[in-house]
Amino acid sequence: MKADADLALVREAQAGSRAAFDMLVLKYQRRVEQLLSRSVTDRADVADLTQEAFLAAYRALPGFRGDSAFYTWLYRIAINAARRHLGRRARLQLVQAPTDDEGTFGTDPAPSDDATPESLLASRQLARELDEAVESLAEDQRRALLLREVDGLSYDEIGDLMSCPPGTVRSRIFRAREAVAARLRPLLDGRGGRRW
Amino acid sequence: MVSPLDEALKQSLSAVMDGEATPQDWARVQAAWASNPDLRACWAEWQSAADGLRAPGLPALQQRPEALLSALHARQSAPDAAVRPRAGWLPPLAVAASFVALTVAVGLLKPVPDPELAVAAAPKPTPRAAGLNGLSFAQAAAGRTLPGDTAPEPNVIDWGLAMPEAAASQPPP
Repeated sequence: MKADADLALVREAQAGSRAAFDMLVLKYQRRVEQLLSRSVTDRADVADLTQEAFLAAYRALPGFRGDSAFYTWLYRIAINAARRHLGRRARLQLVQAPTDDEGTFGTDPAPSDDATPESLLASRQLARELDEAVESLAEDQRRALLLREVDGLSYDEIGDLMSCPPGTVRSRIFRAREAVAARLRPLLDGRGGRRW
Repeated sequence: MVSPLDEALKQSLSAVMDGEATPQDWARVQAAWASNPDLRACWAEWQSAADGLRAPGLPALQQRPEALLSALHARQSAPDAAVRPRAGWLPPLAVAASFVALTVAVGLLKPVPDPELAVAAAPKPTPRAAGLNGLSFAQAAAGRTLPGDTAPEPNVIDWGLAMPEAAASQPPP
């Protein structure tokens, strides 16, 4: 059986753990931002909407029963936040349009830097560094990490496949994470001061 | 970065990330989370690596994770963070409730009319054509009469609505 890390965190958060909710936020920040960036171009708006989506999730969390995956649920919340934002923006443009006598209709802020060549290059560089970091791991660490992160297997399942106890799996995955993070850290630090 | 002394803590964090934490793991992480920014940084770095392993490319974050958490904590602590009814239907409901309350209040304050007074105060029925003094509407509106039209309007139909009150109150034969 696959370990459902999200559900464990959700249950802890529902029981009142702010740490557990923080962990969910940090886990899904990038995916929510990426999702919102598809429909909202302004970076500040994306940041605001990300906050709005997570705040809405926090408020609605007591009602989350776990019938769907947590990210599926969060995805809908984020999509609704984007729709509301676009609706507000459309209404605002309707009100402002008649007073715009300089003919600057449709002027949008600069797109988020995800679309810039520099950011794409940085993203590719990070992906390359990640590949190299994983390749340089010891074989048992690499297998354990990939079986967990990519295939989503539990420690027991990985232990069965690798003929080792779950405690060893746990240790190997932790070591692998440490080694990979150490390789990525300089790149993550160097991205516009984004510490992590 | 987390010091080597915190290795047990980080190993617990790794188990939490995998959904394999024991109660001791969870208690250790929970106790350190709020006061240890390096622990949070470690979690975010591991999540970044996991994102990169699961999907090609690793888009830049739009805001620093710590800034996001700070902003969220501030908003979670705000009074309006509590679950409340949606504002979309609340204002119309309030207006409707005010209207109903006002209607009820006016109804309570208004004296109940005496039935006899009500009958006495009822407007005196008037034959339909009498209001126009026997003239057609067009004639009355024009303020003049045409030659030969001074007689009462013969084509006015009396539907019985103008029956005198006394007659109306009598039982049918």
